[in-house]
Amino acid sequence: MLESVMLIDDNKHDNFFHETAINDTGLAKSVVKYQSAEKALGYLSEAMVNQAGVPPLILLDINMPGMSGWEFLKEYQKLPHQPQHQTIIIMLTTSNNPNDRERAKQEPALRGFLNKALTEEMFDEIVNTHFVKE
Amino acid sequence: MKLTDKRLRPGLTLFIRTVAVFVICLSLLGLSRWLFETPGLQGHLPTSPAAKFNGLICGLCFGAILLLITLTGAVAQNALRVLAGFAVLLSGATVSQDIFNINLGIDELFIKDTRTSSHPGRMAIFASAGFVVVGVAMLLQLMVNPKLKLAGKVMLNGVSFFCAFILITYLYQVTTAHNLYATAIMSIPACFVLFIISISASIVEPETGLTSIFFGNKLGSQLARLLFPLLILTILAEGFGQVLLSRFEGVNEYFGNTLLLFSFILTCLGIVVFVSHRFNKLDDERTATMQQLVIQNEELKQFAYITSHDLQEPLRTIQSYTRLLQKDANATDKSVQYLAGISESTQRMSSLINGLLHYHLLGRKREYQPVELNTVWQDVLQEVKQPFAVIKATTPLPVVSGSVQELRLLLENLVSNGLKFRNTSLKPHIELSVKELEDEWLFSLKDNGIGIPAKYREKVFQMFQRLHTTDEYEGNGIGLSYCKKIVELHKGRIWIESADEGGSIFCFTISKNIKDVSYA
Repeated sequence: MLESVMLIDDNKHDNFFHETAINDTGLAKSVVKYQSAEKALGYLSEAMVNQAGVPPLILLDINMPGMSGWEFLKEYQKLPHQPQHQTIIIMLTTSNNPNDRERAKQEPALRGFLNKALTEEMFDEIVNTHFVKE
Repeated sequence: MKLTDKRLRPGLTLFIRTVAVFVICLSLLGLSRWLFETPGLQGHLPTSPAAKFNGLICGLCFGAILLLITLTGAVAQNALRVLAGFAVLLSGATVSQDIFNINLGIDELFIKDTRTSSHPGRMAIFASAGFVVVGVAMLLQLMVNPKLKLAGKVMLNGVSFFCAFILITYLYQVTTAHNLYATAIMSIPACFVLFIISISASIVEPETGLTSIFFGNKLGSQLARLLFPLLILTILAEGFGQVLLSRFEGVNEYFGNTLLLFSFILTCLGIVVFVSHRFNKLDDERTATMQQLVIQNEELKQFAYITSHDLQEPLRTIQSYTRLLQKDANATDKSVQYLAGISESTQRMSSLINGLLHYHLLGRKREYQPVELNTVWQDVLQEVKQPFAVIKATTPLPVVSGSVQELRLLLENLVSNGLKFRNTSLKPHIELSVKELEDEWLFSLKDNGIGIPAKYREKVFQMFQRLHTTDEYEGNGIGLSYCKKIVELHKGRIWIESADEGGSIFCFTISKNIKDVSYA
């Protein structure tokens, strides 16, 4: 069971659906939602310094007002990472633009590229692929 | 000389008719002078011989021919041929008399000429030769063969040039080496009449030959129309200046030439400044339009991406909430049905938006390469995978220049269209064949489906146009508009014909001369 999942998406409806889907799987203890990439970055930075509450999984949208998903990834690299925290980031977006998909492959921090909306099956799959079942 | 041609501008018709009436009146005037022995028959102009009776008859014929040119119908065309034939015979016989030094007795066939001492009544050789050439040229222009037509046109231009030369010598009153006016070889009215007849006949089909340069709407034609009259005027004026200077005793010959050359340079400079100023202005407008186009194109691209993305988002939200509601709803409740309706409609809207975006993105990237259509066709068959249907190419498919993805999409859409609208009582049968034409390939995809009524055959290619309800045949009405766009991107056309068995034949062409065209 995952400690927590962070959702970063400006669309509150999507955050709500994704949270519902994740809760329905019962594979995560908590879901942290952010509608702004800047705020999520602030939270992560603090969590890393405090060494508490760093989520093992982040689902990230690309197109957001202000800081976009790509910009978030750039800033994320600069955070004070701790070796014991292995966070997996997966893009969760409406974009079916092939350019975005290509670009995602070039991003070292990214581990996946999924299209909205997240379903229970998709979340199951993510957990199975990236996390050893406890 | 297809004079029924709608492209013949009303202005040109009016011009040709005016010339025709003018020539007829002039000839009738000349003929009446001969018939009624009015005094002053020494010639219309003091330095020029009088037009002969036969020459005037030829003039009358050609005037009538010009008038007939502007009329339609077989009668007019035949009368035109007869008149031209007669004029050619009469003037041709006259020329042969001079060449072979014989007398066929045609010079005074109609009327006795008591005023000319040598060869009374005979047309000047250049006049009769001119009439022969113009008559033959007009007959050639009636031919279907474009080469013969062009030959006729060149002959007309030749006559115009020759007459222009004679007219200029008259204008300058230039004397020849033998101290005779060059105009003595032909009467000036005859020369003028030949000039305007040949010019008029050569503009009947302005889009061929030399005249095409002056009658187009392109920049080059505009330049030609602007520049040519200016140059003619300049040169005529310069020539006139030279003649004047040569008669003016006080000016040294070399100084006179220098003066003329210099003034010629200045005039040319003036013309160049005038013309280039005008064209620079046109160019500015064009550049501005192009820039605007590039900006608009870019905006459109952004617009398409953004709209499709932003429009999809609320749709997806509706869909997700509907799904949540469906989970909660009681299976016996009517709301299940309502929710299914909402879900179906949102999905449809979503696919329409996607279709619109893809239609818009078609042809954005123009990357043309040789496309092996046999391979593409095999791919399409793989993709369609309909074991119950007969789908085959009856001729080997060529290698064309184009976009592989687009051509595959084209064939795929057409084949699945044929399969979708099949006649349920028949086994689907779809045949692709190709025919090589001069500049393009003509493809025909024949099916034995339900067919398309003739009145809808153009409409089906429009975006979102459907002939059936979604319950009868599913689809979003985009496939064929894709096809049309793809074919047009390959410089072709697409249309529908009826197949014998009630099905349809989708015909489309693909140009053999596709060049890379990229729009920013």
